[in-house]
Amino acid sequence: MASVILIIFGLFVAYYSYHTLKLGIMISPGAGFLPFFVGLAMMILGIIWFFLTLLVKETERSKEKEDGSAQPEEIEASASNLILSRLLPGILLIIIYAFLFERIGYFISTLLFMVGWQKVVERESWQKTAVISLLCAGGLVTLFSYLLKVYLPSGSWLS
Amino acid sequence: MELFAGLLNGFSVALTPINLIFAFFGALLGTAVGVLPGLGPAATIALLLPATYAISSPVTAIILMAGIFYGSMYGGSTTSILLNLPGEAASVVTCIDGYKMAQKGRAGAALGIAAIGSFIAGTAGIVGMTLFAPIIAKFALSFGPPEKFSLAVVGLLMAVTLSGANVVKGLIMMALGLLLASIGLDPISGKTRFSFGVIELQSGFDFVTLAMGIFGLGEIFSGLESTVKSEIVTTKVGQVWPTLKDWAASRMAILRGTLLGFFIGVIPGGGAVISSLVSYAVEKKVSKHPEAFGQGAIEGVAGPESANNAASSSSFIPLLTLGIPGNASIAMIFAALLIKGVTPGPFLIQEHPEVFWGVIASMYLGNIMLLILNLPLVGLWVQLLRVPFGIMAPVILLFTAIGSYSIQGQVFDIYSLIGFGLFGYLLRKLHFEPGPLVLAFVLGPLVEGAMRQSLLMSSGSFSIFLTRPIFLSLIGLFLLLAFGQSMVTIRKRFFKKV
Repeated sequence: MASVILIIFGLFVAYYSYHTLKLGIMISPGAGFLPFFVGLAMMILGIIWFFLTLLVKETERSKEKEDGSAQPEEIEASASNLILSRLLPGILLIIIYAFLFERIGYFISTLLFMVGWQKVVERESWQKTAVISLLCAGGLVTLFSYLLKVYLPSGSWLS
Repeated sequence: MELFAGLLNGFSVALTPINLIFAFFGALLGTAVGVLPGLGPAATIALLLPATYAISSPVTAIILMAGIFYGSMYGGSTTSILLNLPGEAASVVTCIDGYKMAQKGRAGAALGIAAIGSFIAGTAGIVGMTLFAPIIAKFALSFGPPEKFSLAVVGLLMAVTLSGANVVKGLIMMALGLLLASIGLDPISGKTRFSFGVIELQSGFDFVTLAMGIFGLGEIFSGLESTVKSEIVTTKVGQVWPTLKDWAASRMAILRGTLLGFFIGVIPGGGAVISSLVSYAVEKKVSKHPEAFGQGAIEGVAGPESANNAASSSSFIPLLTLGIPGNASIAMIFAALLIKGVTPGPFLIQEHPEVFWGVIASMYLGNIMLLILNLPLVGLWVQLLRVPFGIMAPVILLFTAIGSYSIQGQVFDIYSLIGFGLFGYLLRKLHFEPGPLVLAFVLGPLVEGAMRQSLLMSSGSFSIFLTRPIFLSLIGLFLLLAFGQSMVTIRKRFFKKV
């Protein structure tokens, strides 16, 4: 599947480079010259990868048939459980953090992110969540604002 | 004479209080993060790149980055020996005999010989760099655009084929890296490429955001779906100074590892991982007791640890003399230098002698600092493993998010960071090695610029590359190495030996 996406993507890159960016002439290559060849290379590599994957799958299937070493269903189920219970909420929290970062300011958004992480991803108690969140948010603010002297937004709602 | 004057100048730079503090700080931070399993040198440098923003001097910034780099190389061996968890790929072979030694109550001796071997090899690597780097830089001064193009392309190809990973996947990563590098304004025609009307994309993706996302966030996202939790450390370290018997058994392994590591480290794509693997194989082959390997042979720790540290030092040679980073970690240092307005390459020694010699001198000092940090404080590093993932993961996420925002002060960079993090996570799932992508991203503008200039010089003929002896020699060297590599692979596959 991933190899097919790569072939289509390579095709798009080559087409876009040829039509929109233009290849230019040999003495003065245009903006699309290098990306065009990169797109072509992606297509070719995607095709090779597709056939290699088929070959590997075939070998694995015959190996599994021989020694019955297929992945147990329980392992697959526990991995997808972890994706649902930890990975997806984690990704969602960091996206919300980016959304709120300039709107409510970096300190409050950092604090809220930590609270969210401890409660949703780690399922900690409120007491532990409060201590960890305050310490981590305070530590990061001290590091960036006071030690590294980086400008960070205090929130548009304050101004 | 010129060499000594340069080195003296370097020490006068490295010994200033501020540079000494940052060299120490880098070694400390690198060791601390490098100890954490999964976070190798590339991820460690990527995560700590924002720390260089506050530093205005490029010398101080690269001294800090170099300290982080070799600190993380040292740190990786600690967890390999004590917990059988390699902190980075170059320490994987250290697990084999190092952990066995720890199980037999000889953890201290294993840690001690790893630190001493690393110190000797690292220092020898820097001596080699002091001697050879100025000569190579002088030679490279005559390089024109065709040579620069061939050097960058052959360097990239070597990094892909010699890294030991799947070549097709490596080439895909290389192509993606070149494509990502071309996003934004084309410096020659002035056209914007692949920005699709997004204003923030007109200046292209920022390297720090890309590196932190793929290496740092990608690692954290992968960790979230893994059930492995850090065990409570109970291993007793004991006496860290090796006995005379240990020393007698290890000294030749250290010497061989140093030589192997130094030469492999110079080759793009060679680096610490391959040198440690080759050193282990060599030690096993030359040993009078090969059966002891895998059962706690001290040579199995001394050789690879020396090799990976010698390689770390020598991998700076192509960066400082040719402007070609040979691996992902060195690519980060390359990018950090560019951010600070310094372009690594043959002119570095003339235009910024304080950077060139300052870094070399600081590496001598950094190696001594690491020996002091690693031997007596080994217990402290192990305690770091007690920090739960539930605290470490969100703090790293926040650190990288705030770090990427601070580059240009735009939230778009945080979104890009998350995007690259998800991409890095997918790469791990599909067993892709992100190193070639990062290298290609860094070298992309050089490859394209040098190619266009070469075609202009030759009135549009590609034959310009075939008339240049350096291009032909590089291609010859690459083909020779690739042939050797494929022979090893074929031997392994068909004879199941080596």
